Amino acid sequence: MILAKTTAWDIFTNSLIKEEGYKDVLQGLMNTLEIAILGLIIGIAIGTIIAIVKVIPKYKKLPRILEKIADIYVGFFRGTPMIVQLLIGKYILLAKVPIDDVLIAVVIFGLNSGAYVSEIMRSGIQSVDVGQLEAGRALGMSYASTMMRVIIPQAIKNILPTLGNEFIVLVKETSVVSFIAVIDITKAFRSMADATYEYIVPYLMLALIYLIIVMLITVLIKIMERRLKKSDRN
Amino acid sequence: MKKSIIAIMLLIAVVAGCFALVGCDKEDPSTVKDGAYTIGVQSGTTGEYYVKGDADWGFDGYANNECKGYANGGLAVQDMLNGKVDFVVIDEAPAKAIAASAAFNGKVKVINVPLTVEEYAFGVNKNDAELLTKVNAFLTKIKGNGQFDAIMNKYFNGEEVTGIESATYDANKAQLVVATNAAFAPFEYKIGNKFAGIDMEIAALLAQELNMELVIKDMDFDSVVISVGTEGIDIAMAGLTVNETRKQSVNFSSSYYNAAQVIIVKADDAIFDGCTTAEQVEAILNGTDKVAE
Repeated sequence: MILAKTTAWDIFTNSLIKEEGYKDVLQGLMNTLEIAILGLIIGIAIGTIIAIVKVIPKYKKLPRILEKIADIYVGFFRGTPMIVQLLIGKYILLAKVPIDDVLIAVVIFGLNSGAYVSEIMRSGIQSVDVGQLEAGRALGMSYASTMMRVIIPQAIKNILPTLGNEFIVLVKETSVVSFIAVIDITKAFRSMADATYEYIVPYLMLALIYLIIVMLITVLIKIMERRLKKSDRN
Repeated sequence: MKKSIIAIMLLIAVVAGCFALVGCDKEDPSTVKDGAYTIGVQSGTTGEYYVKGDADWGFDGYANNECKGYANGGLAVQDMLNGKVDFVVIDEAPAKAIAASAAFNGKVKVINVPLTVEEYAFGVNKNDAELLTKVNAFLTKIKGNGQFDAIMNKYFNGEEVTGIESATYDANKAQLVVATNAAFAPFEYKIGNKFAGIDMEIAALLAQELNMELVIKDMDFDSVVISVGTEGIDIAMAGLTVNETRKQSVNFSSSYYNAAQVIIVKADDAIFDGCTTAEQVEAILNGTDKVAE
């Protein structure tokens, strides 16, 4: 019990430093970044595949069936909130599977992100002039090889700012993972606030940390964009 | 084209109809009773069922009052100080911990009238009958040898408490995985990144008794009972009141604490000051005290 007159700041620093709350914050920060980064990587992988399925010419039956499946997948993950997907994942689909909660969050974030990235990627692929595909095919490259070596690299360059945006969204969305018992930075600061009943300082600090992370990501994307621009002629 | 216009018009008509119905309901003065309060509770706790009413719990509820559910008691009390709810209904021991905390000291007070009679117990995985037997034997043992009373005294006399560490979950190790909601002092709360509280101390002793490593999973109270049985979670230790609905999800151990719901009000709120029995409090909540005047 803390007696005498203590300020909100004192209560916060006490629980952060003396009571070692920073360990939770670091763990939370790790989890937040792990879920967002791995989520985005899985998302880009799934998203690219789905985008290709969507732009592939539909002369045969298989591509049409695949597109239907992709539509259902994208429809579900874009049409339901992340938190609902997390709850379904943890308490229904993976309820009896003995895997770590962080891993469940990574999987769900990856699947969710895949749906969004597929749409981003599709617009990126479609933004590349059709002449590029025709030129590749005319040179004797297969459809798949033209896609992977000519179209997708150019598409990624076009969509990089939008992908950065998706990453920022993912980082902020991780704030709901405490619903499935994962410690993220929101949970770490909420625990401190809940233990001390002092809410102002922890919540403002939390906002500050998210702001700093997002600003860092923004700077990183700017640098990447600049480097990719080096080959541009105009 | 024509079809879609008709569809849109139909949709607008339905939405407008809904608004009209809701609007009428709100404007009707007879539904707003004298003395209707907004009551804050922690979501999923006995307090919420007490205010809203629940047949399984045997609570009639207070239909004339509005009930707002919060993630924990502290947030409900904070919102009360912000003027968003009139008072908070919560378990007695957490209520006292909240009132004694540095943040709320002198700003709120607990009305010492028990509104319910209930028992806390641990919720054991239904598929683990062996664990239930062991937990019950263990509870009998620590109640007999004084260890249980020592823990109780430690927390209710405000003695120095050291945190309990949780191991990392590993399906291959002999671990006791405990689900809790660590925002419920003095039963479970966090000291930095460690856990403390009566339930957590008992959990540590139980893990020691079973020769297992202790893993504590901190989650929202709403999730505690349903999480038992998923992902290796063996037992819920979260100031859990024994109840028929929860019995469908877990096997309850023998009880270890008699609890009650109480009201927390702002320090300068005198509305319940004259109350000595639950009936008097209920009369104020029902708005029937006004009739007697």
